[in-house]
This record gives sequence, C-alpha cells and structure tokens, in this order.
Amino acid sequence: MQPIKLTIAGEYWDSQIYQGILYLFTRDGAIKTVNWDPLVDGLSTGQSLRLAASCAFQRSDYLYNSNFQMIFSDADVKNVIQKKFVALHDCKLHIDQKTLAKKFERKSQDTPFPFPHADSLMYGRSMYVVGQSGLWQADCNKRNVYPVSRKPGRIWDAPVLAVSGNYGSLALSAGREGLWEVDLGWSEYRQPKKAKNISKRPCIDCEWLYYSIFASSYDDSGYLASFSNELEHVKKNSEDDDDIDDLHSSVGQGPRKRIFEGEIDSSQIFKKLGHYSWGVKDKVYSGGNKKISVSSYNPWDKYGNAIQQVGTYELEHAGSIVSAGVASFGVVIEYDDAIVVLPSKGKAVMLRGEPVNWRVFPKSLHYQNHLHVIYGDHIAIYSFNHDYFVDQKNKIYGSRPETNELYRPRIPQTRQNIQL
Amino acid sequence: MKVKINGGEYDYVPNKKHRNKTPKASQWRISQSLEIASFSQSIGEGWLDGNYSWGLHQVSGSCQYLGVDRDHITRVFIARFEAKATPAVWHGYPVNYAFERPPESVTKNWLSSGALAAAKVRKIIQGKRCSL
Repeated sequence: MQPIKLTIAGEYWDSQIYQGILYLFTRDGAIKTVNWDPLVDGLSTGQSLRLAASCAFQRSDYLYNSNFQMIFSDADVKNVIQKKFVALHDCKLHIDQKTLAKKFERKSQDTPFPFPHADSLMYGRSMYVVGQSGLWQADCNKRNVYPVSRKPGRIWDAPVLAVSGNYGSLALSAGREGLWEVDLGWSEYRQPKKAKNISKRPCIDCEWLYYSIFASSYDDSGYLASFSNELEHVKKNSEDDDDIDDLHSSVGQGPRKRIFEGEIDSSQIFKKLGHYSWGVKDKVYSGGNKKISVSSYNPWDKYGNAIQQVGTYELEHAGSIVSAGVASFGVVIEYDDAIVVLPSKGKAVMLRGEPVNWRVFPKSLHYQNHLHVIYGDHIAIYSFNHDYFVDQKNKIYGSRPETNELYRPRIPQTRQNIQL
Repeated sequence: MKVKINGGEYDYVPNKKHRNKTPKASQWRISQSLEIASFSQSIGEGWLDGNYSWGLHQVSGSCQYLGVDRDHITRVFIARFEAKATPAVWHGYPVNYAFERPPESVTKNWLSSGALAAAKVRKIIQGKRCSL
C-alpha cells in the first residue's frame, strides 16, 4: 500500500505537529501555526474517503484500537478499508501558500529561538529547540495571540545537535561532548534541573527505548544508555499508609525513578562490529554495506533477555547512511540523495531528492503514521497506513504503535492481592 | 599581504603548516589565491563571529571542497579564518564541522543568501554527513 501524500507550498526549515496544530518553521526565521484539522477536513477527497483521510492525517491511533483489530479479522471489511486508503493515495492533495495563509494559518510570528536551529521537539505543551546556542524552551498555547511564547527560556548553553523527550526528561545529543539528559522537574514546580552527562562517547542523534536512550554516532556506531525504572521509596506519613505502600510494591505502581545502569555497545547488541545504529521503543537497527540488522528490546522481559537479535536483511539502496529513524509504520533511512522507507509490510518506498529536513513522530498518538519531508519549495506530509493490518508482534520494521488503550500491568499473585 | 575588501584593508598571512603536509594540521587543496578569495568573501559577506570568519569555496555559485581535515583524508568545504595579534593579522585553515561548527549567525547568513543549499546547512548544524 503506497503512502498518501499531502503537499504544502512554501520554503520551510522544520515542522512539528501537536494537538491539532501544524508548526511550520520557515527559512526566513518565522513560525507559521496552522489549524491542522480544518485543513484536513477541507481536502477535496469526497465524503466516501472522509474516514480514510481522518485516519491518515488526524487520528493514527484510531485503527490500532483492539476493537478495529478484531473487525479487521474479517477479510471483506479489511479489503474495503484498504481500498479507501488506496483511493486516497490517488488523490492530489495540495495546499498552495495563498490558501494556507487565507484559510488555515492561525498566526505567523518570528521564531523566538536562535535560528537556524538543529532540532525541535513538542513535549508537555512546550516547544523545545536546540542548536549551537544550547537548549531553549517556550510555552505553547494555541489560544494565545502568539501560539509560541515570545519569551523563551534557555535551559542549557552547550551546543546540541538533537533532542528527544520522554519520562519527563530530555535526551540531548551533544556531538563530541556525548549524551546528556535534562530532568524537566515536572514533579517539582516544573523547574528543569541541571543537565547531566550520561555518556562521554560521541552522540549525534538520540531516541528513547522506553526509559532507556539509544545514542547514534558515526564514530563508534552507537550505544544504548541502559536505565532501570524502579519504584521509589515513598515516605510513610503514618502507620495507616502501610497498606498503600504494600499495595504499590505488590502491583508495581507508584512513583518511579530511572537509574542509569550502563552502556551497551551496538557491537554487543548485534554481536558484530556495528555500522550506524539507531532505535526507538522496542527496536534497534544497524545498517551498512547494503544490509540491515534488527534487534528487539523489551526491558520487562522476565527472563532477563531485554535485547534479542531478530535477523539481518538485504537493503536495496547502497550508500552511507546520513541519519535514520523509526516509526510504527517502518524504518526511515536518509541517504545523501534520497529517503528510503522500509515499511512494516510491502516493498521499500524511495523518496528521491536531498531533503532540507525530515521527521517522524513515533511517540505521538495521533500522528505516528506521518513522515514530514521538507524539500526546496514545499513540505510533503506522507501518511503510511499499511501498519494497521500488520501482525504487530512479529513485524521487523517499525516500532510498537501508540494506542489510547490503558496499559494494565499483570498483578502478581501475592498475599496482599489475595486479601484484596 | 594586504587584502582590500569593501573599502577596508586587511592583513592576511597564509600559514605554511596548512599547505606543507604538517601532521594533524588541516590542508588546503585550493590555490593560495582562492584561499584569499574565500577569506575576502567571508569578510565581505559578513560571515563573522568575534575574531573568526567562516569561508566557503564557490565555483560558479556552487560550493566546492577546499581542503582536507587534520587526518589529511577527509574532504572538507568550510574554512575558518582568525585574526591573531593586534593589529589584526589574519590566516585561515580548512575545518571539519564535526569538530568546529560555525555559529548560528553565520549559518543563518548562508541560508538566507543561498551561499549554501538549505539541505547542506541543516546537515552542518546537525553534525550529519554531508557530501557536495
């Protein structure tokens, strides 16, 4: 199934999408905030493709829902839905600059951050931007006159190449200065804490593997900064709190603390000298010499085998990897002259041309199927929709999807449980 | 030597170690006159940052490699010029942006003037591999 493509004319530098707002950084140093839902609703797709358009661009979590997964076991239903995505792929979806400004643009403002930045991130209703002058944060509120606050704060002043957020912390790639982390202090008055060095080994990109961090590097192929996520000892205020504390420890709930355990080298993960490596959530990849190696990651594995090798596969495209990412729909690899998507099902998709920028949103609930690619005179927003119909447990390319279904931990049978 | 740029005059003395294969010193692979042209452009265009200016080597509007890094193998396309002593005497050398990255004020200028394609500027800023 080919991706659906929506293009927006303009000269852009970076893009973000968050809570119904598309943020477009222009190459002259402005940020355009775009009302995303009206833009998608206004696409001339016809009523019969409304569901497909909505799932493709607004609600990527919808069809991952277990109820739909049950419905998809009916081949006829699955076929109908798939045909709608195929029909949407055939539609030309384009927004010119005039239409964008007139109908969908909420605000265009000067970027409050140093420009041009290296990377950006939307996390916890804030926009974070990193670059040569450090790490910056600005509040975002679409109801304000300026949706991105014009008074950003500088959290750290060292040069940063990439940023990624999870567990109330930001992982920061500082190149030769290694991998760093900033605890945003959400549990304590939302005051970020001092940046902490996790590893001195070079790091040019980083992503979260649940509560651990994978650091990518050209120098030594990369490493996993492995953390455990342990229950914090909660102070009891009175003897009555005993029961609560016991309950927390028995069901694995309560406040937790990430504890750094050490580095696991890419060569250990793949049992051979590695090439450029990257990962997110439950997958780690290493690519080079027209081959890609895959390992899975499950820090909760009850036998202690958190990392397991999946296999090594042929890559069609030759060349050095510039950068790479993972989304639920597959693996994205940037080469000098093209982006190649290895989908969780089907043939590789090649997007020719050197991109100005690109990004995926693997931890987003609503936009995890998006791939944003910025070219000279437009941004292409690709939507990949094959992954709804893929066996998630056994897929090779792509991370575990985000769903809005509650994770229910298995409660061990202990004396306390039985009493409950 | 004296280099005239936009009505101003600059002292420029090429440093031999960046041409005579000195180990661990990056090496120019363009002629000395093109080195000076790169310096002139960096000053003329205002690609400045304190006591440094940052240069490119453009041929018919397109950026080309200008030297090799300290390993004498890795090709590089950015030069850094610095003024030592007072009065200022300038010299320059090729740099690898993986180690020495130009500041935002310079990359912003490269981006807006089109001196370097946006895709290349992004790779420099992110420390990513970039071939011309």
